[in-house]
Amino acid sequence: MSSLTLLGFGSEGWGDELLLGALITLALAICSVVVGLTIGALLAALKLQTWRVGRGIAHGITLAFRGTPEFLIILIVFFGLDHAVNSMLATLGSSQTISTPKFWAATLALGLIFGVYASEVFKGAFHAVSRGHLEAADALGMGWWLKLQLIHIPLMWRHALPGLMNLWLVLLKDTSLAAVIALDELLRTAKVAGESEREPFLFFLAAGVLYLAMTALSERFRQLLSDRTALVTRTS
Amino acid sequence: MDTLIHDIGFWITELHFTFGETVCTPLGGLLPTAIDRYCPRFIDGALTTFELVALALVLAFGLARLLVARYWLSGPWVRRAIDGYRWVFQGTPLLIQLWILYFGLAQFDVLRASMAWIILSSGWWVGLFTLVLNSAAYQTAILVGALANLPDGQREGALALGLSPRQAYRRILFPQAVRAAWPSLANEGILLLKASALVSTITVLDLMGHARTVFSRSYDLSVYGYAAFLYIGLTALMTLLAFAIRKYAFRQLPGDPWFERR
Repeated sequence: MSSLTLLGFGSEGWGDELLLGALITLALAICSVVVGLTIGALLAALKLQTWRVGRGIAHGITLAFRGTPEFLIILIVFFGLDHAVNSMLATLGSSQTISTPKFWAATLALGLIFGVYASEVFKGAFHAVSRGHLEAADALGMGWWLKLQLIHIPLMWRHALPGLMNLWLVLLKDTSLAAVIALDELLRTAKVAGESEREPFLFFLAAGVLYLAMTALSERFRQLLSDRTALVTRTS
Repeated sequence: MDTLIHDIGFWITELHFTFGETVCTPLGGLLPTAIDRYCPRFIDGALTTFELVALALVLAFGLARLLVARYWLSGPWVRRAIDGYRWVFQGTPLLIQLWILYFGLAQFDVLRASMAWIILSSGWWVGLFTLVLNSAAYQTAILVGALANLPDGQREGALALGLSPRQAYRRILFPQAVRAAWPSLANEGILLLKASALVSTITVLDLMGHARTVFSRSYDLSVYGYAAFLYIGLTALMTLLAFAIRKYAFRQLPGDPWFERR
């Protein structure tokens, strides 16, 4: 069979399967960003307050995650969830076992990785907001919550966006790690297709092109965003 | 040739295990039962990971150095070619790069029959090759950025002293760019150390590979915990090494702002 039919759509080709894999990759990345931003905000809040024990815990978590391979984190989360859920079921007296949904295990793991790095971005952005804005808020008699909500957090985003976009690009590539827990995202689909058609090179190449398309689109989006934030800077 | 490379690999693994036995024997019984029996394996894995990453980083720096010089001194077509290389290697996951070179190239009979198969059939060599190509792309990006950020007076001053553009690049600009980029380069080293765990998917028994093998026998999650602990140790070692190299390699360059600050 020619490579064109192999990559085509329908029952003969794998084109539709590969595109579905790319969609799962995108969905995984987007869900992980949502989880990751939440975790990142919580960790950053823990790092920015005055309670020393909380700060120590947050920095310890960051250090541990920065030194552990992403691959290992995915495996620990996947098997850890599986173990935790099933041993909980066992103590509840149920003889059933549940197999952990791979998609959500991967989302949690990738979200944790994203969140840990995002917390550092948030921390930096929090300190980067110019003093003058905050002093103006004080002069207007705003309380700490009002100041945080109306001045500090909205102004923070501008400093955080470049860092977060970098993390998004890293995350998009890290989703391929979900292939090792046999989630049928883009890379694993390509591997399965390559093995069954005995054309691994062709299918990996096709998957690579799809990854490049996704990163190129993200770059474009990053450019648009940075143009917008630059405009805000000029008029402020 | 084929057997020679095989023998060297075998000999190095043997050396790792001999070292592992020496370290692990006095610890006998002190370690948690989950890893006690497998202690020499973990030592072998940690050593393999460290060697692979250290070698890849040094080779990648050499390649990046060549590419950055070409990027700085050559015309637009060379620049475009280097940009294309960076775009491909920075835009795709490392895992797909490893699999394309290890599983993908194996389908071509021409390659299987050629001399290159000695290298391409070995996970370790393909892993090293891929890590070098991948890291060189990132290091090139870091160094090109650092060069562009140097104050223009450095280049102008060098040219005014009668240095040729090539000499100015080699003796004035590049050393300063490396120094300015050192924190980013060290960070890339740590990222590569973590990414190197992926070579275990192409049959290399590095720290991750051994951890996965041991886990598949006992299904004891703490095995992965101890592997993570060892990886964190390796990261700390890497950070210390980067600090030491910075301290001793940049001695001749006056005024390292990072050291003057403290």
